[in-house]
Amino acid sequence: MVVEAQAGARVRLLIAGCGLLMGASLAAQTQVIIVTGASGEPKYAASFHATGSALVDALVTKHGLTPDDVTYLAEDPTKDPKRIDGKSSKAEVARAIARVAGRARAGDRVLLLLIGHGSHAGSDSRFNLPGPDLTAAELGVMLEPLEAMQVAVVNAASASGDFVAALSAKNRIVVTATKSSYERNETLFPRFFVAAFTTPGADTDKDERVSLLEAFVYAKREVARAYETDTRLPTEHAMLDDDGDRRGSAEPDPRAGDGSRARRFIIGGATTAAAAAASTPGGSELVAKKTQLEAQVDSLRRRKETMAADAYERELERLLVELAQVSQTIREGKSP
Amino acid sequence: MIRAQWSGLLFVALVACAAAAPQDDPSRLAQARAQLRRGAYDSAATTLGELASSPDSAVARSARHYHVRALAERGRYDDAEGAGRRYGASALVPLGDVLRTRGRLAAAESVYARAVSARAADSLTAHGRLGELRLDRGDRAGATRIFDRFIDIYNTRQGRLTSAELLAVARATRHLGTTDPQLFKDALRAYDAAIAADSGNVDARVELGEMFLEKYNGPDARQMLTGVLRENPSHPRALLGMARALAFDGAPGADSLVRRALSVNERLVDARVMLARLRLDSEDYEEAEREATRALDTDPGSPVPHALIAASRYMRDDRKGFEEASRRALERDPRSVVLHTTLAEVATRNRRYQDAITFSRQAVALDTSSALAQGALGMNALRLGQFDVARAHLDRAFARDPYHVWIKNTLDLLDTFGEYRETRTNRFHLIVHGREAALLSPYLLDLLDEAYGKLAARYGYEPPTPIRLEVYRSHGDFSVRTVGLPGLGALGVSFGSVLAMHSPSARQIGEYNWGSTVWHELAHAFTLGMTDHRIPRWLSEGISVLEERRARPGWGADTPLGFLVAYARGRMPPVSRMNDAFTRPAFPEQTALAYYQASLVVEMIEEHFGARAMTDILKAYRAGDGTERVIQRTLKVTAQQLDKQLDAYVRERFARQIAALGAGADDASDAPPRGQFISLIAEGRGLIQRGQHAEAIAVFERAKALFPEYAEDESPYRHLAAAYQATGDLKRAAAELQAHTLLNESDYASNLALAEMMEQLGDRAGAAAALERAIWISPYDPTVHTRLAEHLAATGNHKKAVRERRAVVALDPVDRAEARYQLARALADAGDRVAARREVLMALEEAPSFERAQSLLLELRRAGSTTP
Repeated sequence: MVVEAQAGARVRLLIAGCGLLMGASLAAQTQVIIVTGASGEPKYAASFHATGSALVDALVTKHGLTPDDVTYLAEDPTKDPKRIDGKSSKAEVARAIARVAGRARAGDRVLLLLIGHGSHAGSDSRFNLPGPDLTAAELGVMLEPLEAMQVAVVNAASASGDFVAALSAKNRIVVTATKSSYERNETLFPRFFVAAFTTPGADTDKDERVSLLEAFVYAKREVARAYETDTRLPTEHAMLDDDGDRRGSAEPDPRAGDGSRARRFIIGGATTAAAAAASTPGGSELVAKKTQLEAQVDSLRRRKETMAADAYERELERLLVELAQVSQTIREGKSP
Repeated sequence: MIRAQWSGLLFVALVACAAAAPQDDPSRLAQARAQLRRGAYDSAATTLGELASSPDSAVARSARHYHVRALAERGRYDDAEGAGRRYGASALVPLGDVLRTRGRLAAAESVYARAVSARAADSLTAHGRLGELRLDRGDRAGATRIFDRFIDIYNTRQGRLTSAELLAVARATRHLGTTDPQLFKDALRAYDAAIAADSGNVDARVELGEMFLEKYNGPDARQMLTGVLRENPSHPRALLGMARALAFDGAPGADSLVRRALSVNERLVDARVMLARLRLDSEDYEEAEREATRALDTDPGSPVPHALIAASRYMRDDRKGFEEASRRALERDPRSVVLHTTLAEVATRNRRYQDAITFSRQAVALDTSSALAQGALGMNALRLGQFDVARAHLDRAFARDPYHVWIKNTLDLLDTFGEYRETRTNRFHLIVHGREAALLSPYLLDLLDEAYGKLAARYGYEPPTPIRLEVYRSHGDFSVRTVGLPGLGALGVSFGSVLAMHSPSARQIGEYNWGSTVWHELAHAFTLGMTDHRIPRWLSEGISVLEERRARPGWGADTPLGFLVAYARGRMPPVSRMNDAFTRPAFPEQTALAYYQASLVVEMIEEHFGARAMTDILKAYRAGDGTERVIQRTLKVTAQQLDKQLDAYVRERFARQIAALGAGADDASDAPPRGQFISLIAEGRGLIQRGQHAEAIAVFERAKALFPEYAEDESPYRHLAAAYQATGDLKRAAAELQAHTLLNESDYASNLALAEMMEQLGDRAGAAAALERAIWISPYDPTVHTRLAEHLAATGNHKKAVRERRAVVALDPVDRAEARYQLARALADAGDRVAARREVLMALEEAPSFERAQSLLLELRRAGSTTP
């Protein structure tokens, strides 16, 4: 018992050590640019900054990114020089994207989050910045150097809907807070999108990480709840496109169209015990078994509609119990 | 202001000049007609009388026509008839109208027939009147034959018809619309054409407004009638139309509008009828009969006043008198549905829904083609939850009158019932929208059971079960269900054993407590059932409000400042006239304030006459006694003595508060109170703003002592809580906020703030109580349920913790796996391992790698709850 316990303790130390290493390694693969736009009124300035800075903090403290991985551009950098890296002018936004493009490698993840007001003039949808606004077409050009990376653009501003069609591309995820440029009221979406990373509740598959899809679903649901609670008709309908077809989905489903890429787009990449365990003696077999069982559960769930309820439940329970036992073994650092 | 006065003087001067200048007859005629349109009936009549007696000319003939009308507008029917007979062919239609108004149908028919055969200018109008006379007598086929011809006339002479002729066409097609509803559209078109041809055709505008009212289209009706009243503020029929619209909305002012109409023509049958209806609503049955009888002075055979007399006698259980009045109501047209639909309406308004169904059925039996009768039966069946019957008859009504907004809205609502989920227990059928059923139903069923048990014990009576409670997610649907049209102000309604209420999602947070509402409505089921639906509304409301107060600390507890001010100013009615505040409020807020006053009456009766007094009163109502006799028999005092007792009770109980508000009988009715309490609140606010919290505390403590029952917007308790919190005294801040939430039933934010303070103070029970109060205001925040579940679990109340965890799942959170896991955990803690296993499997189905859920699953397996 004593030996086992000591061995267990040693394995847990190894897991912890690996976790730190893996966390750092994964974090280097994600770059985030946060842009808060022209506010127009002090209350919006405060609200934009509160949202932007909350995400900056959470990315570093909760999601394993380093401060260098996060660029925060805001209307007035003097308000919070510790967090804000520069003014959110069009030129600075272009420079920030170019800087990331220069640093990132193929396959890295880049998230660009726009928080603020949007507008629509003629055929151009715009994100309002101090100085000249940023049009969807201009942003498309700025993003070209990131072609080899996994890019997610989240325009959380009002009137952002037309950014989907303008920016939709292979290897790119586009999220907008509204379904068109005609939804012009202040949006709640950015607050809840950021909350997906700052508060518990968005990690619905319980893998201890928040994917872009999870954040989108969380934000969308909470926005709807907020409108319902206030007994207001919703004036924003968020969309997500990640299959490059220039059409956003309000309810993305990874099994049918949009959502698949966003599900794999993990911000940061906090480690999991299972991933760490793979590097321990015998651990890789357990992890493989666990992965296999998870795949079997997934496959079973897909067949749910075609099965008798009793048979489905029996099989589900059998698999889940086995999966729980394997996971427990991994957590406890035991040999398979 | 000065400019307006000068303009007025200028106008008077110009009129004086015009009057001084000699005028020719055509000008005088035009001026008299303008006076008629403006409502200067007497001066118009004088001028028209003079012009009418001049030698025969176009002007004289026109003047004769309008002279008779002017006299009739003022109710001078004898003079009008005499003049009409003198004027011969020039005024046949106005003379016929006077005769018809007075119920002399044969004479009227003869006069109209003369107009038709003489091919007078208004012969088309006379022709239409002949059709209407047939309708008056129940000869629908004969009437239809006449009205049918108007369609041909309209089609062939469309561009050549005068405004008056177009009005005749409109009236004819409107009548035809009762059998072919598409013709209502033609009627509308013809009215529009009549108005377009002559914007001064006031009759066309008023009648169009009345048609809108008939279809329960209040906004269009009000717009049309307001336009008329702008030009002629004393137009009797326009005033009556507006009164009907106000009465329908439950808004104050209907009574005074009818009075204004009667000041122009005190013999106006429709005005007397309207007053009789209003008196029936306020349960003043004798006065209702007197008003209806006055209508009969003008037309002794008019069916509607007889029907209202029958209704008054029905409400007084005067069987013989009821039968006699009913016979008279059907004398003119034995197949008319007027009697029975009137009786059904009065029965409905007095909450006798079963009788309303019986009367509606009798109306349908008399005339199956009547949309009015079919609609009445459908609506009344709906009130008693007889959905199949209701739909069948509403469908029939709609087929005959698809422009009836009330019926259309109700059918639209019935179409949505598939979205509702029904939960049945032995006592209750709960109907809640599918999106909210899982969240709301557990709370509602628990509360209903508790309320039923307590009320049954208190009153020694159990209302018939199952009791059906419908919960509506939108205010519009609730209004349609309960009244027929959206936009009315009640929170809940009881039809006896059928209750309807708003879902909390239908109201803004802070204006509604769905727990106190359901308790209130269920209390109605007891008082209505116990009295066989004979309890007056004010008393039923009073008992319901008092029962709210007994149900939970804080529910129905706040003493409205507005009530004390209104009472001190003599603006609230005595007990003997309490129903007026509900049926014809003297000012917009009076009804809301009367709920509280009624509850004080009940409290006072229980204090002065013993706890059993109220049960005795309810039994006496069941025996059929009116309020005066009930009071006399059960309390051994007269109604007037009870009035005095209430006055003394209120003035003694609230003497300090009234004095502190500085409200007195001599104040202007709408002046804000300026007493010491108000000054202290203002002073305290100022001190808080300046950061002088200690001084503010002293001031608000004084304010609180002056009016400790007050917990509205400027609640001293809430101010004190803020001030104590600012000084770091969390314990006293929490105590003040708790006192506030135990008076104010709908302050959501304060309950959440209090819960937070209690959590900081380590008072889990206090925090749980505050969160539970918050949930009865708005149950839609999952974090509130989560916090409450944690407190309940920590204090060992696992059963309630399960309910809260279920609520989180019902709210369909994004993190469903977490919610299901927490529910499974709570179920396991409550000892229900089988249910816990089911939930944890569902959590893991969502998130197979969820470690805590995996551990719980293994734990439950070890405890033996899984299937082999």
